Amino acid sequence: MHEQRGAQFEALLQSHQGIVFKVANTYCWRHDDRADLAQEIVAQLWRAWPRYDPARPFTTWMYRIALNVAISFVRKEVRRRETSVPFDETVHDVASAGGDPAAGHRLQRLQAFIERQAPLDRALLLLYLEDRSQKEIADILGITATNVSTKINRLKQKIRAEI
Amino acid sequence: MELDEMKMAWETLNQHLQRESAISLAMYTDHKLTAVRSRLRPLFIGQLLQLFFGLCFVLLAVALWSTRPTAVSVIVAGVVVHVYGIACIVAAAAVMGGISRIDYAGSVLEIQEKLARVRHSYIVGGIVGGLTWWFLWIPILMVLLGLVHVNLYAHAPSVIWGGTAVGVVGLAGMLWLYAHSRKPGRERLRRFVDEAVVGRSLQRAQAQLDEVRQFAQEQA
Repeated sequence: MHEQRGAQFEALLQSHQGIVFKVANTYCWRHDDRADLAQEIVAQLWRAWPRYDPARPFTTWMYRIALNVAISFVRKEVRRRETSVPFDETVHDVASAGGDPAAGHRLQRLQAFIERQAPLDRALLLLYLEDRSQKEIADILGITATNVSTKINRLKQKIRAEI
Repeated sequence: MELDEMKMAWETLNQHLQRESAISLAMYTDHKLTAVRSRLRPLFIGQLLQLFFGLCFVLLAVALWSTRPTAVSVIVAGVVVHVYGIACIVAAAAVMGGISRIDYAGSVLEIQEKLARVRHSYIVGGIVGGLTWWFLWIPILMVLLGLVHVNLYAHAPSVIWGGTAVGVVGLAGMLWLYAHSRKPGRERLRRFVDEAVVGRSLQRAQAQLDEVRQFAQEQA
């Protein structure tokens, strides 16, 4: 029974591993931090797995845990480093864009924009970029759908103004 | 950058980072949980130390009770030390229990508010616990002397009254400094008090709580 649950968890994790990577990528730019965060997310998922209710969507459950772990991780890191480090591509693990300078520049601007957002706003931005429905975003974040709609409109204005 | 371009950039960014990071989830088996547990160890050890600290006070009080003290002042001092010890144990157990009961599968705002509240209470508890030491050394001294059948209040009441006066003045001075630093135009003093007395950790915990509440309440 235990092995069966374990195999089920592994299968679901494999098919939704993108969530873990994307949350880790949203909250950490350094390779080591990303790996640590991904590890911590999976550990918490595994720990919470026995209480998972299959009647509820797996992705919502997974996003909730991943985002909660990531926000706590970022706050712990800020406490540890005392001050947040401003975006600096020389110390960040910036993704390249296969030799296309314009695309590379876009990626850097996007990364810098994401990092300027507060942890909770970053969660909203991630879910918006992942095309999650407003209802699901509301369920994951624990706010009303109206509030999600308002925040997304503000976010769109901010994106247009800042990027 | 338009929103569609941004979504495309987001996908590209994740593909690149995922490929470059080469993080393999297959690595994450049960024994990897040990690494996570080791990161939680400092908080756990802190709470264990507080439990030990509280236990020492309780044992000190129990040692006093075993001498069957008769002087009211010594009994009162013993009760104060005993209660303080129990309070330390209860507070540590509450923090440990509070953290272990948090289910990360709750909504982001619910869990972040719970975590911020536990942290906030823990820090406030620490500050209040620290401030009590302006007075707490007196009953501790009375209990230690009570163990060798010396009644400090009977032999040297001036130590108790003098110590209490110093405690009152010290505590009142700290409270006055805190209130004074909150007045407009005293930013430097406020920063000094915040860092020296209140501590940056409490400010951060409060800021986290405010951030969560603001995020929840914000409407059009």
